[in-house]
Amino acid sequence: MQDTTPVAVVVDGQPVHLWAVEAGLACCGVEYAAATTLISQLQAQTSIDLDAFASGDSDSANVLVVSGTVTTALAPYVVALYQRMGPGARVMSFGACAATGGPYWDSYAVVDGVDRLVPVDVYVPGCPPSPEALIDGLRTLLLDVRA
Amino acid sequence: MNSQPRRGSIALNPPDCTSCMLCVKECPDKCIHIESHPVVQETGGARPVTVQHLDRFAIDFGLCMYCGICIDVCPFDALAWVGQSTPSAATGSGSLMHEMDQLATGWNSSDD
Repeated sequence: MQDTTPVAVVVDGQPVHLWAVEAGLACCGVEYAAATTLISQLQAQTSIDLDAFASGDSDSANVLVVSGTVTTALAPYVVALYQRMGPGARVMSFGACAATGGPYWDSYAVVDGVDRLVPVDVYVPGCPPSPEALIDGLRTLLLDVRA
Repeated sequence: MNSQPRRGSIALNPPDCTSCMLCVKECPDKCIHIESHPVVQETGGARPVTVQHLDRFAIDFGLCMYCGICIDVCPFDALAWVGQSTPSAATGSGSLMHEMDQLATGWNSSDD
């Protein structure tokens, strides 16, 4: 379930590195991976300078991206992944399922919001979120990190 | 009709909403919340007319799947796509539960 996708962000000339480790639990996992490949293409349209890098390791990750439906079966692994990250780790909820359970919010087998398991810093809406929504989420997270 | 905007977010024009609840009923994951109360209007006709006054219209964009069924079923076109993506919400400074005024702001920007 673990897929390291480091993302480095430069804002106003100041590099702030968001090293994201993704818990890709369902279809949003694929959508997140696709969206990250578009970040460099979309950065020209945004007011902030985003760049995606291709290397890194999960131990240095400081952002946990939970993308996809959090089933009760996989919930302990999401918690374990969060606990393995150092203090100050940020959590991004990517997509409707991670935020609230999405269309499965009423299911006995689905956690209706990953914030029931780990503290979430930013919620990116969508089903799936667009690459623009991911960039907005990174921007929001970044303002939060710098604050 | 041939220039349908991309599915960024959903906006509401409150004056056009009659609180008919069709969108609430058709929403697959029940992310639309409507509250209203009846108002009796004297029209000068044979009998007074009772209409629903919209008190609250909220979309939980944390739950919304952006399927657009609410837009399709609205008989009065009170809902519409807007091109801009719904902004992300940071814990403590924002919410994905967008209330009526916020949804209406999106509608005004969609006229541009």
